Amino acid sequence: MNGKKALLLVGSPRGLASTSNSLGDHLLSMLEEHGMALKKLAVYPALADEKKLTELLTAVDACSLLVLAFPLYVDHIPAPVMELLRRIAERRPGRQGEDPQSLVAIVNCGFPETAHCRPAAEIMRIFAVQAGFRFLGCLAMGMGGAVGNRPLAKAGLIVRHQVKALKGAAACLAEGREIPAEVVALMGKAMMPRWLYNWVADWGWKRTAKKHGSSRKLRDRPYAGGEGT
Amino acid sequence: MANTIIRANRAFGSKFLIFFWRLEKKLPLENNPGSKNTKRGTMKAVFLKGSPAAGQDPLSNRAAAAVMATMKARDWQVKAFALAGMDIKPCRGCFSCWAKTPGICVIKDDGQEPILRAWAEADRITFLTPITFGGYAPELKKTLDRIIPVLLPFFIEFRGETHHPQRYPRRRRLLAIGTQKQKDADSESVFRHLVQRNALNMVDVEATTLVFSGDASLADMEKELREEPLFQEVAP
Repeated sequence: MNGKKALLLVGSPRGLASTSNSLGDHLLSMLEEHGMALKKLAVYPALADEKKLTELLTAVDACSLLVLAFPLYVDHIPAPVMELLRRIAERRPGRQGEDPQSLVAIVNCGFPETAHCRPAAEIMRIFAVQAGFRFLGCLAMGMGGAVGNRPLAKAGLIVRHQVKALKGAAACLAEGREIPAEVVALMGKAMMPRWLYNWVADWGWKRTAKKHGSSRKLRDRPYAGGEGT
Repeated sequence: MANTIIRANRAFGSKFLIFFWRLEKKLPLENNPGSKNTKRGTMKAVFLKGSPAAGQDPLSNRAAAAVMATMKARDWQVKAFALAGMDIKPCRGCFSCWAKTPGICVIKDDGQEPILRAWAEADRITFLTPITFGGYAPELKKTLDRIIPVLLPFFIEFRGETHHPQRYPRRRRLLAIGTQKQKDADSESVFRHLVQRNALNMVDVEATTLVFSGDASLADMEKELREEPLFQEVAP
């Protein structure tokens, strides 16, 4: 152990059964190899329970490296995670110690293009500045649906670029260095051709709808023309 | 076949055929043929007020008053939602609104359904939020996270990227107003980029962004809003 503590906050409503958790977990396992102590907490349950929230905020204050993993919602960070960021920033006005804590973000989106994640990465950067963290980078990726909540080790060859990127990122983070651009680019590399991902995704929606008996309703407009349920 | 098309064109007008051609090609649609309630000249607007509770952020509350006054002056039909006081629960990421109960969110609370209903009919959408780390404050974001029932789950390519088509196709305009207690060019730039990305992802939505900062007065804000081209237009 090198005395450094990494805290993973999982900012997905699906909690530990999410792609955000899979990605964050993989990074933690890599950081463990570099001698860091690990802790993991879910954001959503903490915001619904004052005791859990206090525990989470205390853990944030105590960590050396904060890892925030979340899905992209409407080009942005999910609302409960924004609420948490605001709470964290309010507790730390002007905090800038000699050895500031570091922050890294992991964001995944359901679109095939990683570019959709850019505003969220910028928001995380500004949060880091305002809350007194050193921002070490944002690992963003598209095609999040292809991971499907599986541990990366079991997701097969399609995530080979992401596995390699997380390993490279862990080496930098353990030394307190910023994640280089080539590692960020590797993380965002497509897992498969865009047409294939889109085709499988569309087919997946049709299959799920069939299971729920709603195949013929997929394009319904329940609130058109003042109607609705 | 050609004769049939010509006869149909005469019977229904070219707009009818263009509509189906655009639908087939998955292109954005100009009008919403499903809506019979929009009269020419009556602009329907949704105003999502993401200001904190009254009194907590005077700048944001002044901006809200300026927006309402400008919309009223233009005789817009406005449905305004003060989000800070509404019980809107977080999105669960279950995607039931796409595959199980298409177009309808399964979370039942007092806020989201009227917003979805108003959005479906709106020509103009207005966001108001204190700029928070360059993004939207949680008060606005909580409702935007649950706006995805107005989109379809399928993917289309639009301007070189993958997006979801609108469930209620209509050429909409988005006005996003951010407020900042102190001017911060970095946050403002990220905010403007975010709004453009939102508009792109809603497909066929054009966006305008305004940022009010410091001690901008109600009169200053109203003047700026009045001069905004978006407020000069008439309803489709």
